[in-house]
Order: sequence, then C-alpha cells, then structure tokens
Amino acid sequence: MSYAKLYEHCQAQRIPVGRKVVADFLFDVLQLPRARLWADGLNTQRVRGYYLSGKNTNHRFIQQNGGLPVVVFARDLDDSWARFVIVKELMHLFDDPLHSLGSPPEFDALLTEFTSGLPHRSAAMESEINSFWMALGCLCPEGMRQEMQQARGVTLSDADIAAQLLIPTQYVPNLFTPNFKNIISELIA
Amino acid sequence: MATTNMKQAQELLFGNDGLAVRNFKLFPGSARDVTPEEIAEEINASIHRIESGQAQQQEF
Repeated sequence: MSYAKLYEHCQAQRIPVGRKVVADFLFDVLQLPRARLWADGLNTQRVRGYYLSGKNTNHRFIQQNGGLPVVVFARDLDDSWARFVIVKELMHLFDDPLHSLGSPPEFDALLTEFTSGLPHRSAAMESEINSFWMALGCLCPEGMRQEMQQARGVTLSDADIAAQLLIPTQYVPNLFTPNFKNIISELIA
Repeated sequence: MATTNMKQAQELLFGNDGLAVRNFKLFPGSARDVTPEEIAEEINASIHRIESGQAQQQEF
C-alpha cells in the first residue's frame, strides 16, 4: 500500500518532519494528484480544515484549482496545528472509493458522527480515523517515538515532545497509546 | 422556507450545478457543542471565500 512507502520515507526524516517533505513524496514519488492548499478564515471552533476532490469542471471553484484535490486549513491555526491538519488531510489522497464521501446522505452522516459521538462508524469516518493515525505515523519516526517514550514524564513533558515534533500537544498521548504500533502496522500492511 | 446550511452545502458539494465532489473529509474544530448546521455553514462560507479571492493559496 502506498501509505507504507510514505511511512517508510518518513522514518528516515529528522524531526520536525516537514509538511513539504510529506507533500513532495506524495506528489513526486507516489505520483498522487498535486493538491492545492488554501489558508482560509475558517472558525477554528467549528472547522479546522477540510479536504475535497471535485469533478465539475464547469464550476469556478474546480476551475480555479485546476480540477485538483484541495486542502483547506484555518488561517488562525498555529504552526503545529496547521501542520497536523494539512498532513492529516493529505492522507485522504490515499482514500479508496469505499472510504470516499461523495453524496449528501454521507455528508450528513459524517457531520452527525463528528458532532454526536454516535457509536456507528461509517466508512468515511473510518478513513477520518485512519488518516489521523497516518498523520501521526508520518510526523513522528518510530525510533524517535520510542526514545521519547522512555523520556516522557522523566526528562520530557508532553509539551516538550509536541514542541520537538511540532504537533498539537493534545495529540502527544495518542503517540504513546499501548496499541500505537499495532495501529500503524495495520495501516502499512 | 429558508434553505438550511446543510442543504446548501449538500447542493454546493454534490448538486447538479455544484462541485461534483467525489471525496470530502473534515478536520473538526475545538468546540464540543458544534452542530452539523454550523459545520455546513463554515464549509459553504469557506468555499465561497476561496472562489472570491478572500483566501490565500499556499505552498505545502
């Protein structure tokens, strides 16, 4: 699977892993569509970012973006948040048709899932969750993660780890969840 | 009856005169009490801002 190649590439990177490093590999090596990136005045309390890929070439928005996938992030995000949102949304370039959201009911369902915490998980939500872990896997090489795990709470606080990786502090605990390696192993299988 | 934000977003993204979106994904915001209507409102407004030149294209 192509994410496995991206993951392998990121293992050799120094931290913080650059978002351009991730993007260049996706576009230049994996030959995925060269997405366009926009900084927009989104209300970060409601939406931090989104990804969309549209095909109506008669529509101004699609023409404006050359028919390419689009990643949008909130302009007001700090560097760590912007990086994470952008890398997470780029992971949707890997979405297969089963996990792609392309209809009004699916859109309604995803927004309802995000806002209600319903236990049912649609295919689209499954890809949202996967893309989150895929982004973490890219932005923290495994060797560094294990070193940080040893130091965490001893010489490194979660804020220190976040600062070194340049990711949001609130996602640092996810890096050290006991089943992190299993989650990544499934994603790169 | 006024069209809801959700219906507007669905029309914009998937309608005959819309973007013909094949895949849409979201990174939600920080508020725990945001509603689907509010999210849809944000998406509608964002797409229109990009179209009208109020957003900034960036390099990765």
